[in-house]
Amino acid sequence: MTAHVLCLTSSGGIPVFVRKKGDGDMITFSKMASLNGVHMFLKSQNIELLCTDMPDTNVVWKEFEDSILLIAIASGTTNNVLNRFLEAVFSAMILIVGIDEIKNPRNVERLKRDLRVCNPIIDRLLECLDIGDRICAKTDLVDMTDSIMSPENHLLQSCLEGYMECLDSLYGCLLVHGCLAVATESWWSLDPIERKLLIIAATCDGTCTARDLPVFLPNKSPNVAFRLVSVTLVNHVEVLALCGPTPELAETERLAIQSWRSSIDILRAAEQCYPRNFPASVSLDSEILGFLLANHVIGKFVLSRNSQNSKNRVSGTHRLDILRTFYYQAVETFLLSGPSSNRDTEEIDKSVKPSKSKHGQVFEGAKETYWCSEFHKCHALKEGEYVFCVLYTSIVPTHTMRLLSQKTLKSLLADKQVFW
Amino acid sequence: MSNAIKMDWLSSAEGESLLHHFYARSTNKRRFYGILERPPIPSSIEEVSYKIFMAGKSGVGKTCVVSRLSGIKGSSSSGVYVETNGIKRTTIFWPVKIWDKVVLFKLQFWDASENSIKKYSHILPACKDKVDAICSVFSFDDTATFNDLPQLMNSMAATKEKPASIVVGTRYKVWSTLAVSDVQVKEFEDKWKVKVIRIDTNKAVARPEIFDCSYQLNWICSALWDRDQEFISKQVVQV
Ligand SMILES: Nc1nc2c(ncn2[C@@H]2O[C@H](COP(=O)(O)OP(=O)(O)OP(=O)(O)O)[C@@H](O)[C@H]2O)c(=O)[nH]1
Ligand SMILES: [Mg+2]
Repeated sequence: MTAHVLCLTSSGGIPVFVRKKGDGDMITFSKMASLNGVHMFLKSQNIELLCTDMPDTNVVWKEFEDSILLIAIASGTTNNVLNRFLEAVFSAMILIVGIDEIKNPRNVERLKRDLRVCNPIIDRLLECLDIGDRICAKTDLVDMTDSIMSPENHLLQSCLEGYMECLDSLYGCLLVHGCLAVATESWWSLDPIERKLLIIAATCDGTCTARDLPVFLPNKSPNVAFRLVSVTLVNHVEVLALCGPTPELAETERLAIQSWRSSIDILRAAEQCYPRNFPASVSLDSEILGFLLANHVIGKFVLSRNSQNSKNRVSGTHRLDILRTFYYQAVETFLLSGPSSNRDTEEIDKSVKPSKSKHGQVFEGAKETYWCSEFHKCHALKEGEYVFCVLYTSIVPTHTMRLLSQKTLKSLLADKQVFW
Repeated sequence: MSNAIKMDWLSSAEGESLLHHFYARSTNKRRFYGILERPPIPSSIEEVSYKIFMAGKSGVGKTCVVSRLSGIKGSSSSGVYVETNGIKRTTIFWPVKIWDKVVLFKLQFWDASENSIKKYSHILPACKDKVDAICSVFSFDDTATFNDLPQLMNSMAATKEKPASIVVGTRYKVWSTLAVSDVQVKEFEDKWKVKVIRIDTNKAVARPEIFDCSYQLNWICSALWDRDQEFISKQVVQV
């Protein structure tokens, strides 16, 4: 199956870029023109075209700043996810060229050229869509930070804070194989999409020792560029920081050596924690194939596969893909549709309208949900900020899933050193 | 050019005995080192560090050259070209036999695209600060990039550090007619007293990839070594 994203100018309908993932054909120019045409026609009638649902494909339109029209065409995914995906794509465009150039492009050819740098970022966002393809390198979610619960996060946190102080920057984080281990408090104050895009931008063009990337912050600073500086400390572990004009790259490296030199063993231990992604002190029951633990308030998640369970023959990434499908389709629809979340498709608003119960409490979505299929079962549990989704073997009795999920969630969150 | 550096040393018994330090055991690929790490070779081996700035027109292959020299085969993962955004810095460790001594070169490549340099004023000064060598890159496919070399080299040479000059030609193919001919290259080498280092970053390799870029890396180290010798001899004269 295939997913496409198209970008056109609102005024002239000039194609700016097209990206796709999956095995389908590239979209034809005439199809692109019709999709744009129908949106334009309705706009002239004062109607905003949002989406259309075909039996196996959804199309979502979204216009930004009266200047750019983005269209997503994908199968197997929800309109809710596609809407957030388009937000993220537009933010990626701001990240690279800034809002001014998008709103008032001096010429479209130049904008096209400058936006080519976005392609790898947009491709990574496409990877976050769930279109039922089994081969994908990494299971990722569209607007949440992929993270890792490394055993000595509390020590890494204090190293990070020391380093950030040297840099005189508030926004920084440490990545292990591209998964966030620790971050400064201010980093979490950035918009979830900003956080996601900064990490993608720093990791999408292969390994290097250090990087100095000019970036605009879609929310916080769409007009003035910051420098995103990343330094690889040990293989697969890098530290990111948002800086102003100083310190320059060579100086950040010098400061990085100074701040992290004595922590090299802890960094290596954190690296070893991947791809398990949670401390070895917690063990998983053999019925558990993998889990997705999300903090839906902060917007971060940990994804892990139970390596002890070798009996299951379904290949690794595919298995974790099921958890993502479950999260997008069941969890977001039933557990996270309360008023606190800003999920904005009308479909959901209609079906699970937040209604006051007779005690005056606001309905905040269901607490649990599950799926049973021939090969496995999925169970999700919501507890405060956390949503814990577990993938079980099909032999586990449906009523014991709740107990196992509760027990496992407790032991994952009990370890205070993990600092998650 | 001095011939202090033994070009085929890597294939010798001594060279091969050090080679495994540069490979990751699990993947059998070249090992990549973070800033806190270095290859676990005997500490008696001296390490020398150099900063090299990759200069050249957009799309000539600067990023591909660095990633090929660092051990990644077949250019960027999918072969699609993406302009480099900002500064990308890559460290490559390379052991060299100079006269009778093994020296570990720590080559720090600074890579930025002309468009980034134009758009953001901090990039070029950061790349040129304390630079030891300018690596001017052209493409054997594109005569214009070759003809631009003198201007590129002149504009870059005007830094106070008097960096060494390295020239790399990408998309080189033996046995085929290229836009830039061997005669032109020879003429250029004689006139500018530099060696033109030929490379094809997309070339398929059968033997361990490291043998297919040892020639290029040795020439880079040789240029750096010669500059240091020249610098030292000048200092002696001044005294
Ligand atoms: N066949 C072949 N292709 C090459 C070679 N070097 C570069 N290319 C191709 O040329 C394109 C551009 O290479 P890059 O290394 O990204 O160019 P660059 O000089 O870094 O470009 P900017 O970042 O824009 O300055 C890529 O698609 C490469 O695949 C080579 O030696 N042989
Ligand atoms: Mg480049």
